[in-house]
Amino acid sequence: MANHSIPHQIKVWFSTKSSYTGNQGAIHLLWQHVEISGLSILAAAVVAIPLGIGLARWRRGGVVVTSIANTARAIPILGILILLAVGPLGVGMSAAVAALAIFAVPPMLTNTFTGIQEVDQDTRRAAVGMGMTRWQVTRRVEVPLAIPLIATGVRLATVQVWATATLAAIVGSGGLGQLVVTGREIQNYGELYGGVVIIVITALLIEGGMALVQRALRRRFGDAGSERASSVPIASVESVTTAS
Amino acid sequence: MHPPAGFTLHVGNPWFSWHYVTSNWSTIKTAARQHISLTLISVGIGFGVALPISALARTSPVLRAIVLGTSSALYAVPSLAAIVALYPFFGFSRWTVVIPLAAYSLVILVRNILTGLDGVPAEAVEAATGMGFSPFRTFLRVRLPLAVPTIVAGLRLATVSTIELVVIGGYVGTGGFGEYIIEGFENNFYKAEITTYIIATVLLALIADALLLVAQRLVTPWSRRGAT
Repeated sequence: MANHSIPHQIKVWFSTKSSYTGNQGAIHLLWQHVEISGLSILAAAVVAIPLGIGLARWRRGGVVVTSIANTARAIPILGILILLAVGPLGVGMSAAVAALAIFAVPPMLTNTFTGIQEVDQDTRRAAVGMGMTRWQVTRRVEVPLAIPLIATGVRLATVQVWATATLAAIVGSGGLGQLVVTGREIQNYGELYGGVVIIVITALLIEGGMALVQRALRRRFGDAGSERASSVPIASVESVTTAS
Repeated sequence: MHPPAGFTLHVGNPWFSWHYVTSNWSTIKTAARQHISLTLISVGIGFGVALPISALARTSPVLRAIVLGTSSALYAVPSLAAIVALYPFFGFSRWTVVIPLAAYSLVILVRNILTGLDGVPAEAVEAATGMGFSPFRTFLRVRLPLAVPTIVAGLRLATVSTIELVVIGGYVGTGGFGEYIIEGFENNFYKAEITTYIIATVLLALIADALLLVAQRLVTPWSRRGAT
């Protein structure tokens, strides 16, 4: 193979209209990628955030959260994706959504849990002293104070899911990974590297965009989480490690 | 590597079969050896590069920002994209997976090493300086040992995630358990094969994690009572 011609092939691929249009075009695949990622993040958030809030009230909650995170870390996502595809869900989008959702739970769960747990005891006591019920304390005091960290969890999960959704193409669920998979199969290096370029750029945009959203949220809900979030990169990294 | 042509119907196609495990034991062992060596090389290179980079990053806030910024950008690059992108250059050689996985390990390790070094109490450093330790000796004898629990936490993370990512290398056929997970998928959904190699991956990850934890306890006996 003539490696020196790869940049040329990439240029040709990017400047050909059919690269973007049709069922296998970049635009359709990008939309599929958005659908797969969006649905799985949504599904994971619906489970992980309430679970994190609930577990934070429970004395043994920390053990549960750590074991869920550690177990998820040890499971290969590509394996689960394939297992779901050959199993009940079949080849297609639902297998990808389900597999990605499983892996989006730990970052949101750990960060929600930590956010609620680290609410100052005195603040909590003050709220109780004002006559709030336990539920009111959670809803009006703990959750708003935990929002910066919950946002960190959502951000980590989103970046991770977007990158990992590339794998969906291996089991025929589409998405941007399809460009890489097809490009490799038919030895079209323009498409392969064009796909890599699009995936990397969109991933970086998502990462940057989420960072901006998070900053805006912090400005609105106070800076409580920021210092903590940056001083515990272990917890944050831990949540990202299953990425891609 | 592929079973003979007449063997692809997988009678009953169970989710798991001991028969599959016992009759393919030598293949599983070979795959395990490949998986372990790819993991060790990747994490080893990552660690070897992360240590000097972290030490350097601590010398100035600008360098630190550059190192952290670059590493989080690196982390956003999907591993499948990185592996497939390198494939035309390195083919089936181990570098196709080792280069991206070493880079991901590097990212995890740099952050943890930095956190570990930052967490060293100033009094300990002052005491060392007061005893006449040179800055290099202080780094080697005081800062680094005190940072070990955090660094090992990073190593555990890097190792477990590398074990998962080696699986993705299986897609381009670079060896390890992933190759057989993909093979089972392509070979008429051979569930027993897929499940066997998933379980093997999980076991390998758990064993590696436990070994590193034990190693950490051994090298830092003082932290056993600690908060880590």
